[in-house]
This record gives sequence, structure tokens and C-alpha cells, in this order.
Amino acid sequence: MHDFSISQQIASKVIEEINRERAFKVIEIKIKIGELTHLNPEQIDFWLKQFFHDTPAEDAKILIEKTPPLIYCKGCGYRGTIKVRDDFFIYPFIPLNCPKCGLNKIEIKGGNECLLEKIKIKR
Amino acid sequence: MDIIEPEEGEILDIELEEDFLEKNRQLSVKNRALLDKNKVRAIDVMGSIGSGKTSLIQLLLSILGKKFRIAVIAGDLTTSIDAERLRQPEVKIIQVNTGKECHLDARLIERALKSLPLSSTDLLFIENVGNLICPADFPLGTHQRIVVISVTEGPWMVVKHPYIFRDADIVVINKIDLAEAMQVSPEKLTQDVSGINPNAKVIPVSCRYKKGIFEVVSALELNLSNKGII
Repeated sequence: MHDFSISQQIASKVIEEINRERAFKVIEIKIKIGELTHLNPEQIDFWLKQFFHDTPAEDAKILIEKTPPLIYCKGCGYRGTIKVRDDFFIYPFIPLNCPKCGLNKIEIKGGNECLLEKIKIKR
Repeated sequence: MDIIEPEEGEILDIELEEDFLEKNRQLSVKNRALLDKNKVRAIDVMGSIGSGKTSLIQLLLSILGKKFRIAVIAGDLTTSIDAERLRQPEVKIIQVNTGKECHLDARLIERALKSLPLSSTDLLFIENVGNLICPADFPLGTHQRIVVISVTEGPWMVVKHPYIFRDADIVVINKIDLAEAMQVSPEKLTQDVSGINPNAKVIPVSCRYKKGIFEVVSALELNLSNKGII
């Protein structure tokens, strides 16, 4: 839902870098989006393309990687990823229980990010 | 000093590593520190549209207003209808209009906190934008999070929006006076919440008939001594 405003922030940051680096063209933009966020990579991609219209980032390849949830279980000490079921209608449903011991005393350690990782530019 | 300039046409990789959601989390930590410094207990009231967030805060104000110095930050897209509803002579109210935004974020709260008399405030209610989805991504720095749902939203409200319940301290199931007519079971909703977050206190409430409000007050675990509530 807030894909629009997050995309706007990402786009401003990229444009800022274009100006700072005096880039002639942006070739590639790498983004990581955690599966625990309510952000949809397809929508982010769509909005970024709108914001980059008529800028040096217009033809940039936008690479969005989805990152799985990382959890720590306070029950059994399991540290690792959990699987996301993607078959729910609107949003993927994340099981909130530990895959090892089944308890739901888990702490989220990752998978809740929206990271502008790097950009490749041409000067 | 020699400066080595890149040649025309050179390709450069620029590492940015900027996390746009982490920025909000960091700001929320700052907000929390400011609240703690001023001994203000802050409560984020989230919930769907029409679930009864404003009604609940109204009732809490009428009970707690005599004992605590209360402030309210009312978040909404455009209007100040909720802020008007909550207006009381002794309560300081700030309206935050998010424009097109579907949630409050830590930056908006940081700005709102600047215009509140924090040193003479004990309790701060933040009414989030009516939405069960987006506020889950944006912690504000409050001490407690209440999620308000109501039986008129049907039986699947909880299971369809697990994230927002994951971090809730208190879940209010409002409009239980209509449960029978709606054929929605508050017990089932309670089970759904417990399945996601066993630590959340689930309280059936009827704001219209003022039922369950004192249970909400006691779940807030407020110490009655002034400025000693944290």
C-alpha cells in the first residue's frame, strides 16, 4: 500500500546520487525487499519506472530481490529462515511459529527490509 | 592534491546500502528515548476503518482524564473529524494529516512530539490511520500497541492480517453487542489472535454500551502516581 511513497524515497535517493556523481546514465539498480514487509516488488518496479521517466535512470535495469524472513527462536535457539506460503490471495502468509520446535516465541531478525543496495552508473 | 577523475564513459558501482524501513525504525527508537526522558507513556492505537479507535480513545479519556495529563495525536488522511470528536478542555490534541499516506510514521510523530508539552504530559494516545496493513511496517516508538477490530468486519479480520497482531500488546474486539446479529464469534476471534500472538491481551468491548473499558484500562498497566507510570 505504501509502495508509492517508498518508491518515491528510493527514486529521490537515486537521483541524488546521479547528481552527485554527475552520472550520464544509470545502468542498474539493485534493491532488496524483505518478504515480511507489505511491499510488492512489482508495484515498486512500476512506480520507479514512472519516477525515472525523463531522467538518466530511465533505462536502468531494476533488479529486485526478495529476501526471506530470518528468525531466532527463543524456545529452541533455532536461527535461520522460515518458508513463506505464497498461495494466499492478497498477501503471503508467514507462519509465525518456529519450523523446528513449533513454538511461536520467535524474534524477527531479517526479512523486514527495503534496501537500496547499489546502483551502477555510467559517467 | 592530485584528484583522479574518472574518464568519460567509465562505469561505476556505487554501494548505497540504504534501508528505507530501517530509517523509520531508527527514528522510532529516537522518539521512544524522548518519551522516556519526559516520562510520557505512549500508546499507538491502530485498527481498521470504523472499528472504533476514536470511540475507544474517547472513553479512555473520560476515565483517565481526571488522573493523568493526556495528549492525543490523531492521524488521518485529510480531515480533523476525529480530533474534533476527542476535543476536551484538558486534553491537548494534535491533528496529523498524512495526505495520501496510509499510515503514520516515526518522522510525523517526531514532528508532532515537538509541538506537545511533553514535560507536563503523562499519557499520550496516538490514533493511527484506519488500516490493518501498513502501520505494521512503521513502528512509531510507543510503549504499547493496541489493535482495535470489531465484529462488524466479519470473522476473518484477524487471520487475514496476521502482521499487525504480531506486535500488538492489547487487542480490543469492539461492538460485541452486535456479535449475535453479525453471527461472528468473539471467542473465535480471540483464538485467532492467540494463535498469532499468545502474549496479546484480548478484550471484548462495546464502546457504545461502555462494556469492557475498565479491562482495557487495567491492561494498560498504568501506575496511578503522576509521572511514575513508566
